[in-house]
Amino acid sequence: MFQVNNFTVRMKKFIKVNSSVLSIIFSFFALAPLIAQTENGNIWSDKNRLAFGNHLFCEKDYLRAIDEFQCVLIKNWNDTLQFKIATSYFRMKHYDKAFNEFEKFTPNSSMYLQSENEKFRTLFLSENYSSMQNKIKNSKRYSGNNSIELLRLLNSSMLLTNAELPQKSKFISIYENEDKNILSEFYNWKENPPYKNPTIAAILSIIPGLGKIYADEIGDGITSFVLTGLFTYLAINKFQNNQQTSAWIYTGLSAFFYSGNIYGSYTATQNYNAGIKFNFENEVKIFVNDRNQFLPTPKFLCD
Amino acid sequence: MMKKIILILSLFSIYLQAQTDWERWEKKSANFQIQNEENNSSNISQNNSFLSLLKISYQVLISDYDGDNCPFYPTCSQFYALAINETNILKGTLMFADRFTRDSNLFKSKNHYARHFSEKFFDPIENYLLSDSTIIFYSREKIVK
Repeated sequence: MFQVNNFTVRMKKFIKVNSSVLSIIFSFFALAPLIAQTENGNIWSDKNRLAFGNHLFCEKDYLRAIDEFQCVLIKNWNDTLQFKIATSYFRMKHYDKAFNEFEKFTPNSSMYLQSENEKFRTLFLSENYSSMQNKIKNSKRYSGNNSIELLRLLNSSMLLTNAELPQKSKFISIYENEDKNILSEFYNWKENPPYKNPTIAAILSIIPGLGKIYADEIGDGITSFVLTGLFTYLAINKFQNNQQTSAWIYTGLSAFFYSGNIYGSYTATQNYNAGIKFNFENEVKIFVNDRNQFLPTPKFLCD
Repeated sequence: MMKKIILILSLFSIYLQAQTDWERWEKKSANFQIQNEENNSSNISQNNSFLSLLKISYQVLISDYDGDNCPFYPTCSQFYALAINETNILKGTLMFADRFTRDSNLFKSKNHYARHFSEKFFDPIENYLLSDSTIIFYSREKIVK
């Protein structure tokens, strides 16, 4: 009890003597959180919006990142921000909007070349090949003949359109050695596609099912042969037994399947060719996309 | 002798059909989506009253009782109706004869067709109009909506 009273007396004496020092320390701790809250001034400042936008961009929250970047961009136009907005649309696969945003760069801009590359990339991925080819050909870099990347992209895209290909040696020479073999195969395919002739399929269908087998539809071909053969046999049999009504019904059914088979063989071959073309184009797209469209990618985008 | 061979072949095809009859009873996930009125688009032109009568008769007397057995989308009857609307009665009938043969495929080899989201094989009439420009190839991995 004596000890407690002694401590209280001593504390009171200490506070009395150092009251001014203690009030300063107390004020500092009381104000510290307030200062921390307003350390950067306005939280909606451009600096904060930019930092938050960059964070969202790196977190792949592109839609909200665009909002933040645009708020800053309204006040101060900035190449990098504009590029990030366009890239955000690109990564969301909104290719039309991405193209429009990349289009805003002028030749005076320090990022003009990069934006031009991205425009070509966007057009390729949105399968707008003819437009991309025209834009590449109108580009100063192409006319100056000093961009092998553009030439590579242009040649690859020609495999996906009806454009006439240059000579094989010229076509292949611009690619890396490791890519030359596959490009050579693509070139040969494009020059001589392994299509089948629908007219031949229709002619082969004189023997029911043969046209379908030619079009790689073996099951349909055999079915067609069985159906036509069955009804033809029944028709002949009924005619021989002088059962005219059923004979004519079977004749009609036989003609129905026979003519349908000729028609079907023609369309089956057309569909076979469409499948061959689809697979070829798919392979070319995979190849070009694996090579990143032969264009360099910017390094400042959190990758 | 010939008759016996044909009889065996017919019975064999019936046997194959019967073997896959269980498919329609297997468990399927429920689909609560409101179906489009596809039938409206496949209405045979009003002028062709005979074909309209044939289609309605088929739907009321056969299809309603037999159930939804066609493995394709659009179904064979819808395909026929659409084909006639799109082309003419002769070409439409040829298209239908071809579709009917493909539907009756003895080996059930239909895996090269793309899938419709109704879990049927997608086989649109546009691919059978004899024009290369209307053909759209769908890879078999694709599910068409």
